[in-house]
Amino acid sequence: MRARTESASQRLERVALNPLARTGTGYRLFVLVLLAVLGWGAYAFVTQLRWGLVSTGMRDQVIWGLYLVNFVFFIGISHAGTLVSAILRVTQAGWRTPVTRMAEMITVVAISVGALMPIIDLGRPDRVWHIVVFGRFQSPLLWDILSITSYLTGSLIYLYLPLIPDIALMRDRLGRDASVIKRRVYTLLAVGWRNTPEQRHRLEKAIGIMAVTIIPIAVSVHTVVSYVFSMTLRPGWDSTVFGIYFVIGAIFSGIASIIIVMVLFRKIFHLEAYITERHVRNLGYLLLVALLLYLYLTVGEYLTTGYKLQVEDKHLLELLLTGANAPWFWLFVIAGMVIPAFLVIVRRGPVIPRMVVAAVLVNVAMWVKRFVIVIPSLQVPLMPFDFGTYRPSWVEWSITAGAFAGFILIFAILAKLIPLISIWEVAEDEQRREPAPLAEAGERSGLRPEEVEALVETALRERRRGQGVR
Amino acid sequence: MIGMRRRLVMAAVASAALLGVAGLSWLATAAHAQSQVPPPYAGVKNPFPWDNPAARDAGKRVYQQSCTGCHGAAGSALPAADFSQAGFHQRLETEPDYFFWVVSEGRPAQGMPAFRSSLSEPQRWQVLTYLWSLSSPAAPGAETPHPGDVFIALTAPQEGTAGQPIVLKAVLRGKDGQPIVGAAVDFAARLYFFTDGSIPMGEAVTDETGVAALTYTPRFSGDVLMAARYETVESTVRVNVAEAEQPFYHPEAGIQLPALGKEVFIGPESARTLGPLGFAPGVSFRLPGGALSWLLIVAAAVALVWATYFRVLYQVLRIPIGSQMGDTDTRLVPAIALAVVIIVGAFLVLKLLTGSYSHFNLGH
Amino acid sequence: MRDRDGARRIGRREFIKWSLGAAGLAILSTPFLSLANRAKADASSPAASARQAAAKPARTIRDWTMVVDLKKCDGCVTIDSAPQCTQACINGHFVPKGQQWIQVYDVELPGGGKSFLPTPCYQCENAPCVNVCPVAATYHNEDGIVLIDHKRCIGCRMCMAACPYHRRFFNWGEPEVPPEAALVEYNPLYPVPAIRGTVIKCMFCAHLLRDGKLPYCVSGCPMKALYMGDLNEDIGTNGAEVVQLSRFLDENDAFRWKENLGTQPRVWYLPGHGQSFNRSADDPRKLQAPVWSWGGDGFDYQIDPLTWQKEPR
Repeated sequence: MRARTESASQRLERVALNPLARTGTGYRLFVLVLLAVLGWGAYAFVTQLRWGLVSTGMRDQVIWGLYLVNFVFFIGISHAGTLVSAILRVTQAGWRTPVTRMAEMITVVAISVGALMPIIDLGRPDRVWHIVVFGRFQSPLLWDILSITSYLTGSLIYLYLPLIPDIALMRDRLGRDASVIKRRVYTLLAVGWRNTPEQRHRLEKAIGIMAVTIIPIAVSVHTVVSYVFSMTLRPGWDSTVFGIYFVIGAIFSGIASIIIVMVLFRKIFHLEAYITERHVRNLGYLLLVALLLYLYLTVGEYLTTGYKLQVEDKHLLELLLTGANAPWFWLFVIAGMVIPAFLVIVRRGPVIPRMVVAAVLVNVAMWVKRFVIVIPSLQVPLMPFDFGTYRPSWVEWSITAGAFAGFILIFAILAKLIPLISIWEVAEDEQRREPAPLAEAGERSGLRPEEVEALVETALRERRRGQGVR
Repeated sequence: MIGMRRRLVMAAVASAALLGVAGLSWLATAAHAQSQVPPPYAGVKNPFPWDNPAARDAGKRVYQQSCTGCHGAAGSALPAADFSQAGFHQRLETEPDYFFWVVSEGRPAQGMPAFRSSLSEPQRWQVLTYLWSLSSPAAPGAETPHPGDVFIALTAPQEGTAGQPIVLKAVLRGKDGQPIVGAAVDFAARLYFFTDGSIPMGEAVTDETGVAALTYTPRFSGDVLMAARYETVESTVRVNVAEAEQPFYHPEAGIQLPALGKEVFIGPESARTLGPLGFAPGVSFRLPGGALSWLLIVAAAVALVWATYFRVLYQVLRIPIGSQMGDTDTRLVPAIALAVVIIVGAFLVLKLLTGSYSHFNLGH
Repeated sequence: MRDRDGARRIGRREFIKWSLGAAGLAILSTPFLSLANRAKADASSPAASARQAAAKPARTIRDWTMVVDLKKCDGCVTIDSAPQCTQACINGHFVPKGQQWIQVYDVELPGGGKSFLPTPCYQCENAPCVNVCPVAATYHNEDGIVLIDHKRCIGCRMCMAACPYHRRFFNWGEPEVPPEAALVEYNPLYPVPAIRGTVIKCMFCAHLLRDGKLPYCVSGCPMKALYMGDLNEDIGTNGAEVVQLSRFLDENDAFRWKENLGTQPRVWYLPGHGQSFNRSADDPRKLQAPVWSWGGDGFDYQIDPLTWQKEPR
């Protein structure tokens, strides 16, 4: 048993910086596997470059497939960071601090991977520069470019700003034998941080501005992603509520992603002291709120089209409810809406496994839901011909697997480069909750925080009585 | 015993009485019939002579269009109104106002519609003139004049402009030079549109001087052969119709906001300036919709966002106390980030204002 | 400005001035760059060169439209062949196999029976495809035809998602065309040879119209059911007769397909089921598939992951 000689802040540093210091064989093996999958995905992409999009399963009727599904999915996940970091910061929810760093990381990585997907989907990727030079801003795709560029920049800034004190900490903790390059990089990135009140003030101000700014940008991102679909005349896409529908869906899958990432890293890097059941439970409640909102919007969508049954909408509903896409649709309903709701509401059994299962189910179901949004609307015939069919080819599956592998890989690498918990914010939080001397005293004496508090209360009461103050 | 004289007197009185009754009743019927015709139709007479061939032909056309459905081609389909019956023409001559009234106001109870709105007065008289010919033994059939019998001459301006009315006059003369009145002349334009063809321009009836005048506003342009035809004779004039200054057809797509000027509208946009050889529109500085363009709002929003990034990174730039730490300039990273934000932000706003926009109303 | 340490620092005002100045300069210089660009474009645009070319007035600007007389269209079943309009288009443009730029559908009639619907690109006035293109690769020309610049198209297929009539096709792989196609110089009016990774469709044979000839489908129809018209001159022809468009449409109860979507298509239909050629509505004969005489697989294949060879799907 480790001697209780270190303070709370020292323990925080040790736990948070541990992954950066040590790399186990398990980790190396994991990275190798991810690299292999990513490599196979790259090979599939090369095949596609050589032969054209004929190597996919898309043809003239179902013109968009897994690539756009992945695009919507990853951009959806990216709303994780914004919600947890920015909204919770703005609403001053105190429990958020250990989670913010991971959430911001999810945002940046998800946007990067998601933004690649439409480029992979292009028939002429060699002409991608046309978008930059000849971009036509009356098109929803260009609104995408505007929005995603702004969001990526904003998220990078928003990830970097709270990272500055932590990098300064790492810079200060570097041993004498650290390489020159490492020292240089940390010094540059730490921007001369010396934790003076003036510097803290500036940083807080900057973070505050970003927190408020990034929320409308995030809302606009998934709104314009939805506009790529709802600016067309297809059944199921020709809807006026697509903007908010996609944004709520993004928040929904984003929260689920945070839960998964959080619990995973908690387990792998032993962050149990900082990411507690309370965090997981609170995120679970947020998940439930998002689920109910998404359910409300989904019901609205299908009810309003199902009540009127215009010809093409009727074909679409037939496809979804009883036709070829029915298994996927019902999978989404049951695994994405019903079961997670029960898992959160019914408080039987340990919290964390329940929430993780709910989150995993939600993420899988939301991927399936994006499939159900994109493909069936393209299968419905627009002229008197047959329904279209779509079977993704090995190229599409491989690139999808590669995208997920890349996503996880970048996370794995980032976990080795930056601390997963925002050390200075958590430290600040702890100082705010318990005055440091008492906490340390309590630790040294082996008492639990509640016992220390009770002692302090008693002491204070005695003093007040002695001074005649009620 | 009544004497011979008395018997003769009684017979004379009886026959006179009978005659009188018959005559009276006949008069009464006639008067009754006559008194049925309400004003303004009472007492009207046919302006055309009953045997006028031109009026008859015009009336035949009207009859074939409007009357054969019920009355049949020979006018004998309805027994109650059999125009081909002998003696019908005399009734027409005696009570023209009655028949004119029937045609004009109809007989709703018997299913005869009123034609006062769909046929003009001359047309209704022409129909009656034709009906006269159906029963009159003396009425000749509609004669097709031989080419040698009729002469037609068309006059038209040699130059015209699409969109401006052109007046065409066709003169009809008979064999002996007298004008043919009341004849319907067909006008047509012969032109080339991927193939030779003919567009009907309309019909006009010759007046008392034998001239049929038609005012026609062409939409087509080019070298056109205008033709006037009557029965089997025709006359042509070559007219060069110049193109109009402004096109007639304006494709519309979008919602115009007229009060704010022609350029301002809500809607889709397409090519205004094509690239060379008809390739896609290039890049140019243009604010679609003028000063109230939606683009300016978007550009302002984007500029605001990137200005916020600038402000934030500027705060970061101010964090280092002293620029150096060891031998590294600690303001390097924020300076680079600031430069990137400025460049990317300015570039995005620039692209918004200079994109390859398009306007669907090319040239119109 | 010097800060507390005495080191030289860029003052805030100076910095802002500097950066705004740089950005402003960049923005303000663009009009001059693009004016030069546009002057170049203007000089070589067709209208400008036509004006400069001859004393006669500028080229007639038309507003093309097509009218399909369904009383005359019998799907070419009475002559026992594939629809000749589709076939003529395929032969004339070396259309990649599997694509039918003008496609004849069979439509159910309310009283039972079928009529045929030859469907070229409708060149909509409010074209959804033009509205959504991110690089302005698809656009209207002055005559109202919707063209595609295949050197600009990036193959995102947003226009295909937007088209409510399924009239746009994608060259998924390398299009197989006969060797004579390689001799043609590519032009947006005559998109031959088809370029891989771009969207392609019917262009109303803009190259033929420019030269005063009728499109392949119009001249290829043996029943003379397709009419080419100019909405501006109110005139139309099927190659045999000339009609006044407005009266022709009015007198024959013309309609457009999916009118309520607001796309304002430029193709009108006159109702019928081929009765001019004695085809009754419940004639059981079906449409025949057109032929791509130069063969090929079309895009009906996939790629084997290990051998990188074409395999049937």
